[in-house]
Amino acid sequence: MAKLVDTLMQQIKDKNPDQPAFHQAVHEVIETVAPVVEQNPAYRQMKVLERLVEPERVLMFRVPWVDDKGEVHVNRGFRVEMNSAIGPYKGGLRFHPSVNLGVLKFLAFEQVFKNSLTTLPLGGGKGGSDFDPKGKSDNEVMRFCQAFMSELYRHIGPNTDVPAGDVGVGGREIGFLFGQYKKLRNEFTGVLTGKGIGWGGSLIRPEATGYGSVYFAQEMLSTQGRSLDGAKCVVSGSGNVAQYTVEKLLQLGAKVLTMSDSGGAILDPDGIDEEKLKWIMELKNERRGRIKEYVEQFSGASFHENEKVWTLAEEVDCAFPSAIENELGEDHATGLVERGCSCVSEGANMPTTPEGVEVFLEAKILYGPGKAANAGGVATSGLEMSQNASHLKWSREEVDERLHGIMRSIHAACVEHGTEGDHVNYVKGANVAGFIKVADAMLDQGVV
Amino acid sequence: MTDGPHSMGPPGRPLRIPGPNGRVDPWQQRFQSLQPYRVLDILLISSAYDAFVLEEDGSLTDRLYSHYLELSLSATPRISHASSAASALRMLRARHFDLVIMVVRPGGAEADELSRSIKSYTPGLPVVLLVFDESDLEAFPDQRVPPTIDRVFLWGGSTDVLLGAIKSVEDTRNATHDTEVAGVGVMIVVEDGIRGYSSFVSLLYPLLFQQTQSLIAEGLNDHHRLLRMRARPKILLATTVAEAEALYHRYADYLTALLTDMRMPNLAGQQHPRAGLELAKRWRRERWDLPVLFQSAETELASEAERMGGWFVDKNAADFRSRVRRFFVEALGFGDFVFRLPDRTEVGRARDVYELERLLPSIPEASIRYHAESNHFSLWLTARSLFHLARRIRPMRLEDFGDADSLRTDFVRMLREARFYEQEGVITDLGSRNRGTDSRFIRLGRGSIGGKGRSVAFVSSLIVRHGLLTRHPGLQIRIPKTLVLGTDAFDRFMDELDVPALIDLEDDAELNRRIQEASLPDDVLQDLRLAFANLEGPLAVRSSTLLEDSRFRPFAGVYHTEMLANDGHHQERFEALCRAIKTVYASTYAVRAKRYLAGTPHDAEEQKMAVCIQQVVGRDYGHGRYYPVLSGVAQSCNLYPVGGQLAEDGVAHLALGLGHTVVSGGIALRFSPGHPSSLPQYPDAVSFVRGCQRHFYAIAVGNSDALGRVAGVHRYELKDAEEDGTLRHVASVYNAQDDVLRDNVRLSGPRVVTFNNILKWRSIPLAEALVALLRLLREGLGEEVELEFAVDLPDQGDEEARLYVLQVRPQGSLRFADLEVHPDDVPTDSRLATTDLALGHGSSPPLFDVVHVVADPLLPQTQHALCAEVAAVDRELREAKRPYLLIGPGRWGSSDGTLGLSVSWSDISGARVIVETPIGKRRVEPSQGTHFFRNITAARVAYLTIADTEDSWLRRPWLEAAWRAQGGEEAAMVRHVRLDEPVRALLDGRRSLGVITTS
Repeated sequence: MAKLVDTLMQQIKDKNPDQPAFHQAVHEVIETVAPVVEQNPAYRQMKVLERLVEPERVLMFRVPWVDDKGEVHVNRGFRVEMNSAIGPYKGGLRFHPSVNLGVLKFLAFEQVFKNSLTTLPLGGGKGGSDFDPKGKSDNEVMRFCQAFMSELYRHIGPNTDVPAGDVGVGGREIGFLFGQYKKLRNEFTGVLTGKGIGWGGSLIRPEATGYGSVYFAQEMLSTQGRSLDGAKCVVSGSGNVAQYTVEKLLQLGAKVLTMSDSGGAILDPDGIDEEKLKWIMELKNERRGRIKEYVEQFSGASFHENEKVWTLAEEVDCAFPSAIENELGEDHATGLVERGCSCVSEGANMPTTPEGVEVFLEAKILYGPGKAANAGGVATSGLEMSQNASHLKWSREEVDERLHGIMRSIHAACVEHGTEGDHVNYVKGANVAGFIKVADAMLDQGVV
Repeated sequence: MTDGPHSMGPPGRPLRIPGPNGRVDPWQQRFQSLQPYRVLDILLISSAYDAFVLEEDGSLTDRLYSHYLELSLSATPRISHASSAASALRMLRARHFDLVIMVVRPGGAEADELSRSIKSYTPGLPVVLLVFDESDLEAFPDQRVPPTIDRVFLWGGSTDVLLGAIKSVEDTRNATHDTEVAGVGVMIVVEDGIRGYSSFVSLLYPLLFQQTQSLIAEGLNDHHRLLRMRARPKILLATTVAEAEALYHRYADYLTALLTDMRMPNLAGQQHPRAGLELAKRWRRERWDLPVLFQSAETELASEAERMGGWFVDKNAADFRSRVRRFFVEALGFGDFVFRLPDRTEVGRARDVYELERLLPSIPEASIRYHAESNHFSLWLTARSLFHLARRIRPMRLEDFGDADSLRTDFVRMLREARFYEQEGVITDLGSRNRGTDSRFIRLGRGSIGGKGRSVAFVSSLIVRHGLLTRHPGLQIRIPKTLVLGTDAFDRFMDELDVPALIDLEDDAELNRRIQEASLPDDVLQDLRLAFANLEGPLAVRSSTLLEDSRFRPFAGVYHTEMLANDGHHQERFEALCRAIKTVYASTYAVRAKRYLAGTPHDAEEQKMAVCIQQVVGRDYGHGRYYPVLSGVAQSCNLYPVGGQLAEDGVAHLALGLGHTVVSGGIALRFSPGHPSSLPQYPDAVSFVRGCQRHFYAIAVGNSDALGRVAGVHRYELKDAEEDGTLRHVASVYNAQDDVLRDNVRLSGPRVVTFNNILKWRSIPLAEALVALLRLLREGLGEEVELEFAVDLPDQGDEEARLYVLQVRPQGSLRFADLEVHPDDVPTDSRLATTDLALGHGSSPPLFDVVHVVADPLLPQTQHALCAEVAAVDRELREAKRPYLLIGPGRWGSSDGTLGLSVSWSDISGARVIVETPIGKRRVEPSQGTHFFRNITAARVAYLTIADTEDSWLRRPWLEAAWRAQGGEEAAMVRHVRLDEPVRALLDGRRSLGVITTS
């Protein structure tokens, strides 16, 4: 198997000499799926891996634009359409001076599997430009987006390729891009996601990741006949993801004991209820205050400077790391397990260190890696596309329900491919589930 | 409102009065050039005996001097005496003279010849002949005065004639210039008899001066008064009707009065008993309102004269003088304006223009109609040198308005506009009648107004000179009402105290107590009370010191500023003001001040304190909070120009509320006035949400406990600003759903202080106004400047927004501006690094430590470890108090792990100089420190970007050698190099040049 990996890696390096990030990404994926490929000669014969690592199409184009002073600038635009086996290409646009083909290929490659894991019919792609929106006036950004879309529009469409936002492409840029597309094509379709709520966007977008991680936890628990009702939960962070994680947990009857920010963590033995959550949301979103102010407002709670939430509560049922990368280390993991934690659902990206993950896997608790548990964010793009296609705007409840359904499917897929005896390895399950769906579709669709 | 109760600001646009040349010069400039010809040196040619006669009561010069003094005229002429024609000519050749007065007894031929010689030598020199008796004229050939003699006067025995002669010559010379430049008025006197006109002229001039003098007490300050005097009407003499007609032809537009004899040679040259009357009638046909005085011995013409609306004065009457005086007062408008009804009943009386403006609205329509029809207003204004206003009003007939009411309204408006126009940019001395209320800058007492006072006064003059009030439509530029108590008051206050003992005190509390016990001088208190009556609303009481006049700019913060809420009862408010002034005085000798001065060539005793009392800009929004919508600090040189910004466009910081936010280093919005819509430190909506202002400062007012005491400056939340209605001008709302900022606070969502409405959408032209102001100030001061300002925005309606300039000083961050930094002078061999992409200015302290990160390519896996290592070294060096040079690949602080080290500021805050090198072969746009922009600019850290080009490189082998020399490992990625010889950074912020030297 090592041979398979090495050979393939060598080929990739030869063919794409100056793209170290791409090599890196490919290497990681191949290592995890190599066992699956080994067991399926069809994949090897039909050269699925070789086909996967080669983008279906790469577009590179010139984007000239004029700045406020009348000077002409020339940037380069890209769209890497990696794989459309299970659905139209889907992936964000990144405007950043670091953008180049190698970077986009690596991102597009990862996107294929991320999207596949959502169980929605979404292919993988990525695009962008080496334009830096920083310091540019609104008009300059607008002119650039219009110039960019003036080329890209030929190649995208609601059933072909549906870009979204990414670094450097926010609500403002999506607006300008969509406006230009609509002008050139004379059609109002879901060709971009991340649109404004007033013109085709979907509700629940900010809440999706937080809600999603809770739904995933709920599914994991149900495999053991348990639920979140009455569960003692520790949540880290106090940003977007954390806030909505807490909101959904409360809706499902759980008891939330902690939240945190870069200054420290709070522990409320009485539990953070709706009212307290509302206060925290106001504190963080409106006043941009610090979490330590919580204890001045609500008695019975304690603030622990520079500490993490993992060590605060005496008894813990579930943990929801929703703050930042690498916040949960080996010791924390051990501590949590000791205190009774049997379910971890990651709302953030890679919040647990590799050592911590090891601890969870060894203890055989329900560990939902971010890849699967925080896919709610990605999933809402799909939901936006669906609403656009049916010319509908679903209510919050409708979107929420569908999100729940999607998380359920993701969970099921992980279980299907991650069961090891009486226990589910969700990490393996997530990796394999994403790959297999795409690989099988590629087999079905012939050598194209 | 900032301006006080009586004024609402100039309604609409202030009056811009174009001069006759079409340009709008400030009136001061025009008046300054009046009376270009002045008699300062007189040559008196007379026999010794005649000189003796003239000097009967004492030296002529002395008498002339006291005469001039009485009349408050400027420089008395000097009189030089020549007793013979020969010596006269000799003196003429030796020196310059402005006027020759000849007194020559019978022997008219001599006079004739002498005058001819004088004229042939100096053709333009006026020659006046003084005779003692009319019969002296018979000595002339043909009994005619030769043309080389400009004028003959009869010596009546008093210096008045001399005065009259001198002034007459001056007026004749200056009439053309003065009428053209400033529209000065002209009075034509027609009288053919020498005795007649000599005595008349000698009566008229003193009268004119006295009358004019009484009016100019209305001037704003001494200078102002002097200028007004210069604009007095000119008296032109005609001895024949033909001469008079010629004068009329030339000066008709400026004619303010005709004073004429009755019997004179008419145009045909024959003596005509009614020549004067006919003359007047002729002129009256064109100028129906021309005031006319007939002076004659032939009283039978009196009734006819009066029938045509003129005045008749009997030459021989005993009350001749007083009648002429009455003519000036009543017909020429030199006295009070007496409002009368058509039946002559008095219904009101205005002493000056200000009172006129105040009374007008309440005067009965019939009276207005009566005066308008006879053009009394115009006349009266002319007497007060308000020529253009007078001329504007004169053609306005009642018919033009339909009714007296509209005329009245328009008139009041014009008067008010003219008043404001006059006052802008003028330092008013307190004591000027009725002006203290509305003047923007008032000085109390004598002495210097100190550095701060001076800078505010300078700004005020700039505002007038460059028309800044109206230059940017939508935003008026002004100074707040400022009252400066001159250093004289300080001196006198301190005279009563034992100053050396105070200086020796090291106890500030005791110092303050002793000073509070003492009282300000009585006259100072009196003046203060008067001025204070019109200062409403919160006040900032600041020190304005003498030594600030010199270039010791870092005085900022050394002396005291008190904020007064200034509410409550008058007496309490006044006492609070006095206490505040004394507190400021006390700070002169406070410990901190003495320590500060110890580091300068001055000592505490030299320091003198003026006190600058300024109205705090802003409004009381009804919830006990007083503050301006926004405040800021702007600097003319941007030492950290990133993106497309230019150093010379300057940089500004804005905050909602009082300027405390900016000055104390709180979060404020930084932008370049030349590129207001480019904000590199906020690339997207979220970064704005995270990094914007969250609180603001305001003065708590209306607190009955506080009653006029020191004001509390409190911190408030954004929602308070929303309640006050001020937030909408400066904030946007973040929509998390759409990830956009919408510039409309009626939407729901977190409020973010972005100033988008102002900077992006130009609700007020703030950026342009700042660019213009900074440029003017830089030119005016001759160096880079820093200005503090505050903006008041009206709630709605036609009011315009106002930008108030609070203080101006040399730009503090250019600490080393005295030593021009020349990085390009450093020899290449001594350079460790050089670049044309540097941010910052000056020279760094010597750095013995270099932290060099060598990691290429930068991989996400190693990020974490690298950042931790860098942070560890930083902590170690900070604890050891060793600032260092940090060099590393990529964009410091980037969240993208492949583009740079994702450190946070606290991980590298010990670095004094940061260098960014390229990553691999990728041409990534440099970050220019934008991830830590606030920190870098606040801590004045130098940031150099290396591009690996000819002009921007780093000597890596040098670093490698130093590393190896101390036994460092090749594989190490974070290298802490300790140097025996320090390195230094030298930066020229204006040209973005930076060099790190090894020697």
